[in-house]
Amino acid sequence: MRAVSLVFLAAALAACSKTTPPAHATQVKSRSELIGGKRALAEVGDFKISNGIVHAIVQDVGTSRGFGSFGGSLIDVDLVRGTQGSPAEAPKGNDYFTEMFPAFFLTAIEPSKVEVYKDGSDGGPAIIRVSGTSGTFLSLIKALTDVVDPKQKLDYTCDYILEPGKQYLKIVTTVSNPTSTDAAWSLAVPFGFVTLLGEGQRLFVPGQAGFDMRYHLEDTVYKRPASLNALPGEVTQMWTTEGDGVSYALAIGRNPDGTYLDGKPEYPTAKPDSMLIPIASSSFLGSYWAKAPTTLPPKGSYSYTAYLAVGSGDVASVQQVVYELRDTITRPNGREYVMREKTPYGWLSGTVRETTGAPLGGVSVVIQDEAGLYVSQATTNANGTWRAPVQPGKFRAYAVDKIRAVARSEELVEVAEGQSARIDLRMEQPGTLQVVVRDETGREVPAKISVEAVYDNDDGSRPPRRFLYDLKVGERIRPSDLRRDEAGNPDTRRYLERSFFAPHGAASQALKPGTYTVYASRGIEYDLPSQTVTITAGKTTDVGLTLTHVLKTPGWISGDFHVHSVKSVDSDMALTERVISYAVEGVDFLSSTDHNYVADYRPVIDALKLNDWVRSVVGLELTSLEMGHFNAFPLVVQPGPVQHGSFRWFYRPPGELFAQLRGLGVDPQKTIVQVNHPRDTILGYLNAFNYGTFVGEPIPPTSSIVLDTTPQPDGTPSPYHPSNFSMEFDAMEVFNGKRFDIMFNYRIPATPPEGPEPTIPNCPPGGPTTEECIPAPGEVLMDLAKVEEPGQPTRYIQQPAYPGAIDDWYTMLKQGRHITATGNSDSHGAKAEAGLPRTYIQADSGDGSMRALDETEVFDSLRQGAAYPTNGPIIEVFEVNGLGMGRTVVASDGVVDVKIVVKAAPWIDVKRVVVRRGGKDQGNSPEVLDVIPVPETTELERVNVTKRYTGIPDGSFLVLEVSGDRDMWPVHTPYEFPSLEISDAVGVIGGSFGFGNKHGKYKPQMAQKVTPYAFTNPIWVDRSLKQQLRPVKRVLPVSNDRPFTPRSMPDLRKLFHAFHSDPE
Amino acid sequence: MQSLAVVLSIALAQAGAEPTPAQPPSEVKAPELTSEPTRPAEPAPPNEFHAAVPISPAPQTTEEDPTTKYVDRSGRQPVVGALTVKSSKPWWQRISFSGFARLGVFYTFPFQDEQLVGGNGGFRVADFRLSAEFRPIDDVTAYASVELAAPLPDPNDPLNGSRIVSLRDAWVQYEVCSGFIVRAGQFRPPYYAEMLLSDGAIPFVSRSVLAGGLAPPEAYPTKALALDRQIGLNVFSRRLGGTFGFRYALGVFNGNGQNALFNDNNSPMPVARVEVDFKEWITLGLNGYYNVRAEGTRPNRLYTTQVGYGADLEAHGYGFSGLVAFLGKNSSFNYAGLSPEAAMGVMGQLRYFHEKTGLEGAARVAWYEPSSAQADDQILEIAAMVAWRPFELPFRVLVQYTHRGEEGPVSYPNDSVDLMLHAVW
Repeated sequence: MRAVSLVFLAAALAACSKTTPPAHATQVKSRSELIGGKRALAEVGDFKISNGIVHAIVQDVGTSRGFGSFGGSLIDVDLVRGTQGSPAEAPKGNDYFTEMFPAFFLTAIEPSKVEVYKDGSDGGPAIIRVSGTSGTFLSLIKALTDVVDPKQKLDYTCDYILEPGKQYLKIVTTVSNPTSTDAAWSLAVPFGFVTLLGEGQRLFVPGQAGFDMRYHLEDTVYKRPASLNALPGEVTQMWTTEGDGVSYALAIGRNPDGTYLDGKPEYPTAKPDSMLIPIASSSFLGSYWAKAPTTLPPKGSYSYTAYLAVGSGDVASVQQVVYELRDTITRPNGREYVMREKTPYGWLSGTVRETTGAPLGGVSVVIQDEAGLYVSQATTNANGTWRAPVQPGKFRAYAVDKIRAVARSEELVEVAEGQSARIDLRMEQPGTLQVVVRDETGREVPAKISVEAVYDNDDGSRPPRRFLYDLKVGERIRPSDLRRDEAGNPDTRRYLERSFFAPHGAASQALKPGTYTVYASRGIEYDLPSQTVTITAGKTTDVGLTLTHVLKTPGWISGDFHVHSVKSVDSDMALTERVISYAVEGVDFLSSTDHNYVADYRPVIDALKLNDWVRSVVGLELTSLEMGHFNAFPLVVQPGPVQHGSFRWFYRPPGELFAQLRGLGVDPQKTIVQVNHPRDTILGYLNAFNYGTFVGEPIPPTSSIVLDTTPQPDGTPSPYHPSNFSMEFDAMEVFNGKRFDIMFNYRIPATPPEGPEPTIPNCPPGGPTTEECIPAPGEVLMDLAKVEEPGQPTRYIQQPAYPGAIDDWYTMLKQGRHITATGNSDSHGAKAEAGLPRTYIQADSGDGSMRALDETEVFDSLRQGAAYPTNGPIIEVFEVNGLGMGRTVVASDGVVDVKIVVKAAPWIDVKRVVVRRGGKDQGNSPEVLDVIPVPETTELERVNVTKRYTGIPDGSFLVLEVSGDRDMWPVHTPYEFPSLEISDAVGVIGGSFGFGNKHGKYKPQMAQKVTPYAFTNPIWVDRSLKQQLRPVKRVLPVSNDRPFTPRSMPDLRKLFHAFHSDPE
Repeated sequence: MQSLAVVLSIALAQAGAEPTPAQPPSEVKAPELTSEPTRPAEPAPPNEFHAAVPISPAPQTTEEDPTTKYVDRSGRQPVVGALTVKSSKPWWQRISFSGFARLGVFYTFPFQDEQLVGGNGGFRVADFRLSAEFRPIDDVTAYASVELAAPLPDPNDPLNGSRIVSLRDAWVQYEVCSGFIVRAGQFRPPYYAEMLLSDGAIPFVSRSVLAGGLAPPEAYPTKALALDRQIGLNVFSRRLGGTFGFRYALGVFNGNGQNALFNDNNSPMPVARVEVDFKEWITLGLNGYYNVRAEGTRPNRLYTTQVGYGADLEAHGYGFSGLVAFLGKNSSFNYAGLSPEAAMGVMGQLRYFHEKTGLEGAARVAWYEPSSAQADDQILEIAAMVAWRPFELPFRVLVQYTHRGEEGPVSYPNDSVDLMLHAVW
């Protein structure tokens, strides 16, 4: 027994002496040390910091594996979960953090070194330090940063600090001036952080915005007057997120010198610990608060501090960490300065139950104070209970889930500091809809079920998001038909309560009680049966629908070559959902093209037993931040690298990227490289290089926001120099999703839109010549590119102010370039229907099953141009003298017979078929040979004609355009919720600095209906037989192992110190 | 009382223990077959291949009629697949059940709640094992054991989860002769002496870090160096020889660990072990294996080639038993971005059992380097235990203190003290 006593004594001593887990920082040597999770990007060689409660990884120097430009960013953050990885595989963690890095206004650190500054072995904090010089992560705005930033080369460091026992990372960023002269910022600009959250983490900004930062910025914040001294933005004390099992919050440390927001009337609600959020786009979140010093003296430095808290999935869990956070520093005078003080708070808690009394787990409870501000969010656990920390005040709560109507507590409940109060909520009981879908043969088929309802609204100017659902409390969006509401016409007030998939013909879904119209659909080759049902609480309603394959397309398959899944940081669509979404939309063939990640969906198709319906190949969307997005397929999956073959794009010329993409291919010479959404703001390749729509090559920029073309230090041209523009791609995504605005040049509408007046005059008769102006309705709004060449008079090139890709493509055809036009959905989730649009390709699948499909035939046809993009109409036949798309017809007499057969499902409208001819002699666009009107009908066959055209010149091409006017609701929903893109934010910030929009109200409307449209790839017409050249395509090997060489010079001062063994 | 002593001595022998001081080493031998029905005091799977554990014969039928060969009760010649007997003993009497349970209070320092490591201590059912053995004929044994309290941790939070019923052993064995025994099914491959002890026969609360690895809440997770149960085929011998003894075992396994649904690839894992001993006082074992693992979610599979090797030396006498062992493993990967790495570990343990009082004490030191690629991940584990086995009862009470000294990223104040009841039936 003595031994037992001794053991217990030893145990007690040990317990007394050890209480807090230490912090530790290290360079990752094995994958078993990584964090893991859906957004995990870290790899061996990166730097990890952990304290047993949270752990995080900072990427080593190099280029970003996320969306940013440089390495050295914070890329993985999670709670320590105790899961285990292997040397070959990371643990099953739950990292949902994409990337964060300090931003000195619009400049980042271009790191030259990442190191373990303190490993924590002394029992103190562990520190990872990133150091380097300034780097422009968006070279588009280099002109702006060149004006603002000091001319001196400053030193930047960012310390990621983790103290033992803390559930947050402390991040201290320091700017120092190593030079002997004053460094001055020409304008008062803020410092802070740029965060790329990605999908799966819903942003919640306490205050007016709640979960709806997107429309809060657009509807409220961006409409406030901005000034040079005060960027527009939301003022808040933290931003937080809500996610699956992990959540994050960023709060700031006070600064003895004050913050950027201090004393500015534009920010009346600002407090000493407030931050400004000027940007919160789909994947780009800017948080600024630090006030850049107007002058940084020689050897001087300036620091600012942030705290990144990690929670367990809801906002409440991270808010508690922030509220408990107290941090101090010792100032040079020896006095303590409180960076952050604890926030007094109490607890609000309660339960959420169904009206039946059953507890509801997983329900989001949003807390609103008596001033109407959204202050917190908690998620109920399995027994329906929740709790949230709130600062003293009076509150009400909203219970929100994906099925039931929002439940709101009526009475305000008061919470005092350190006290608790309770709010219990009851939600209605849903009913269940059970659907079985069979085809005309009785076989159960994959189908999409759309549940339509009608809302009440007598104010046509109010969008449904203002009354149908509440985005601020995080309610789910219900897509509407985007028709202007009329009180007496329910057809104008339709919305989708729910869409869900029946992957094998049967599915059920819980629904709010009510009356609905249930549609079954399977893409554009099937009809659209429906049935009206009433859903009763607690009851199951059965529906059986028969889908008829009304339009069979033997010899053709439909494909989508731009598809995203959870493997992309801006998508949270699981692979199973992703694959099913294609099966139910009737798309036969798809290529995975996740952002900077080579994914393979084939194992999922196998597991779901959908091989008869869907076929997939491996692909990649190489995603640069500002130079364009490029797809390549079919590729080989590389199991080893974290991104499975994707490679760095930063500061590489596009031609090199194209050649490297081919290097990833199964057969490099047959790999298809596709330029995506070429006119999508800064994400479009043709925009980035100022491609002249009617010129067919880069032209001088028409905007001050341009890629950085400064020569490299060794004198070689910038990779972004126009001379590096490359046409070495095979296909171009002319038709992207629901984005007609980037397919067609913007024309002045007949009815002037609402908005600010343009600052440029109306055009004189004849259009713009040497001055920009607003043309007549129906005309293309043009910019003028000024060309100044030595010895030549200044000339101007007209360029559409908002160019569309189809005219770019026509110009490429005019130049004789055989670039295949494709139409792809670019679908990132359920909001963007899979296969809308899709590309039909000439390929035989035999009996219709995708198992028998020859992939080689698919890609040969695609490369040849035997393909057409469509979102509805089927172009069954388009032949010139008996030859189809992609072929070259020899018509020595210039006479051609064109056969056209156009069909459409009964629910798709076709109004006209246009035959166009282009060629070397064409003007800005191909001429219209014919417009064939199509009568109103629901017959499948809409056009079946053979036309003869004479006088077709040598080197011509013929294309067909098919369009309708009526939308395709409810199968294809409108583009109702355009993302707030980075370009919007850049525009707003640019506006603050005087880069106003000269076109005022004249700009494309992003929100738009989806009307039927299809067009063909060309049939070429020559007068004589010509030998076609088949040049060998450039292929470059891909290597990420090549060491990254920072563009900055080495720090010679430290080298000097090293020689003298001076203590650091 | 005497029969209980016999039972305990068998149990100790199976547990790698030693004879009592009253029993000279020269008299140490595998438990004899007796005319009385006996059962293993601890349900070590019969015929485990390990010199330190004298191979206990499977429970024998006692009323068998040697003249009756493969005749069922009806007197007809048996058909393939039928339960065949050569004994007049009814078949249900040729089934024996056994098992063990380990339960108690387990605390890891510091005594704080809501911590991944060093928290959430308290009562725990560590094991509750049931085993059944069936001998349809003399030379054929079928054996199965299930763990009734197998942990099933939440993949996102190892402190949450539940306990489930899980298969442990499931094999069939045919003894052609003492030099050639064939076993097929799921069982422990012949690798590493400590691992070849039955779960119910280990002297400590758990095996060393080499054999069991670490997991929350005791520590951050670290994989074991030894092999766990595998599905496969094993050919082995009983002890051959006289003063100097020899045993061998050659097996082919799936290399995926226990209860794997399917194989991760088409590559089997060969395992080999040889033992030589001197009068069974001192036994030297050498073992090794070669394995190719495929890890990751299809199609992102990475292949790891593993070569494992090790040696162990066991000795016992006068109430003492000792074991020292070395294990190593080299891994290489088919992706050039991952450097080859090696793991190694050594352990030594000493145990003393005083039969008269039923008191025992043991100490163990294990050192483990999980990865040569990873800095600061070495683990030093020191465990000391005292136990008492009341003679009249088939259980022991055990108190153990474990010190875990870990480097760098896994360092944590995670020593533990455990009080455990270990019952055997």
